[in-house]
Amino acid sequence: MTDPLLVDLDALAVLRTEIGPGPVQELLEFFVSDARRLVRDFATHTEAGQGKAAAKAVHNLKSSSALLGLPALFAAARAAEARPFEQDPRSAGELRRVLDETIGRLSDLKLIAAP
Amino acid sequence: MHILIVDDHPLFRMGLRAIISASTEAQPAVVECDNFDCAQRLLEKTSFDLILLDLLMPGLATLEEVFNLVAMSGRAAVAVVSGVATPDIAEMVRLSGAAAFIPKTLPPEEIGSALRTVMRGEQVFCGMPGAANAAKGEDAALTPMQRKVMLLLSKGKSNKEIANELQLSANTIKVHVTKILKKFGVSSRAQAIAAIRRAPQPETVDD
Repeated sequence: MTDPLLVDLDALAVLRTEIGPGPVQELLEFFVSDARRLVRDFATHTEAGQGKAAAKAVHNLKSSSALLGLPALFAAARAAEARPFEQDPRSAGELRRVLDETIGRLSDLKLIAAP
Repeated sequence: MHILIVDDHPLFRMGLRAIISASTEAQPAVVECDNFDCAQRLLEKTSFDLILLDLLMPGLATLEEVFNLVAMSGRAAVAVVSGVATPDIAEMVRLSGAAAFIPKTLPPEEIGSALRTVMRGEQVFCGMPGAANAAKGEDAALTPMQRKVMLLLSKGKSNKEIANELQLSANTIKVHVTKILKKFGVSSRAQAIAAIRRAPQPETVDD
């Protein structure tokens, strides 16, 4: 089984058709800070044993990544959401790794400014 | 068109606003709330044509709040746009009288298509098992009077108390309660109350 794509360019193209290139660009730029905040929140809440708040953070991350066509991050967020009460610190580490790779790929593709 | 977006996730509010803007020639007036209390306060003084409502959000503790919001939304169509997309939640949303249930994890073009359907005044329930069933949704949702009865039931009121409050006969309330239980697919009022007092939860299983 292959790993999911970091950036689904076809999905992004559909989103551009749906809402226009300008709004997609705004969403992608906002996504970087928003996703980093959500992963940070997830880590903080997980360490504090606040399962519900941790689940909420990855829940939002899952929705963002679905909207923007970021399959690997969607899969990681979905997996983390499915096990928030285990308070597994590896979930936050895995999410951070996939997010960094996703942001790096978006930057390589010149879809966002270099981080 | 006057639209209210109620969602605590700023990125998704931006996305919905962009989809709406791209879907209509006449630019709609869009107002945003990041919590449920804000939406309730706005609805007390402003009327909208369409309300897009998230489920996992500060101030929205149970599905009963969705029933309440639909009841106070007047002529507005309520579309629940949520990352919690289980069939039983979609079914409760349909029963509440909302016009749509749209999972956030749908591809953006499907979210756009569903929103355009609702903006045309039609119904769409994407999270339901089988095909989205607008016709069934209209028939199977609670009527406005049934919604009022249900909300009073959930406050623990007896048929007699509900009859007094709504100025109807106890027999009429009994008929409404029977129809409500049938639509909920349950055999007791306690089960119906439990169903709408349930809290929408993030997914805990990988479906």
